[in-house]
Amino acid sequence: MLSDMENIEEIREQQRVAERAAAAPYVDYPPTPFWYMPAMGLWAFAATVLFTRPHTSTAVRIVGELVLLAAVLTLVWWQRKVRGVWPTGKAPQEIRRVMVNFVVGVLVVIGIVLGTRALANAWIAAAVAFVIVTVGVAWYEQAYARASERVRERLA
Amino acid sequence: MIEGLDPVIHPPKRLAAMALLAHASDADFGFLREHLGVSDSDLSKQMGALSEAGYVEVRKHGHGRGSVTSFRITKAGRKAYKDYRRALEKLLGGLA
Repeated sequence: MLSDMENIEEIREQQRVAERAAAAPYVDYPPTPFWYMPAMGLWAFAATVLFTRPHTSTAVRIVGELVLLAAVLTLVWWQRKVRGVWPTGKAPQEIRRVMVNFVVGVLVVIGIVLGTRALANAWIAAAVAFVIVTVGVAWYEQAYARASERVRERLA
Repeated sequence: MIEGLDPVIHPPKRLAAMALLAHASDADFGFLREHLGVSDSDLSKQMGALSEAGYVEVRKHGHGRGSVTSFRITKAGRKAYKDYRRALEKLLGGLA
């Protein structure tokens, strides 16, 4: 009986070890630098100008798209380098909720920017994109950090 | 050790490394060392055992001081980890 109890405790401890480690790629990361949020806002500003400004030549548009794509790839490369890991697979439940909110937030931002563009010129829409993306990413980073903390507490 | 569990994965440090790599495309030496709370030599030893079993592959990028070692779980490693977790569940179900 005592042996069974010891085995149960050992198995549970092994499960806790595995769950903590499985969550680590999602919740162990360095602090987000101050420039990250405005940099994302600038990207949104540039994308809005590129895609909503009329009479943009095809050459300018192609070069612009390549620059925006290169910025995204650089961001992914930088994230992987500073984190030392790239999470894949099923995220912890607390993190998944924040990710779903992020996707919904992106759709809302696109709606607001396109709505602004319908009423005003591309520069005003781009300025709106800059502000709401900068603020939105700051909110997301805080929500993600709080979710990470909850995961760490649950698995402690 | 409890019977029926893969002895290569069973030590907690190796189990943690396998669980982490099963949820990442790859991971740097430094990240694993920090998460596992082990020394460089201990991590090298644990990862060496997993690599020898064919559960992880080691990659080295760059040269000299700037070089980075990273690890990636193999197909066999992923299967072994899943089997191990399944065996834990089964054992717990049988004992509880």
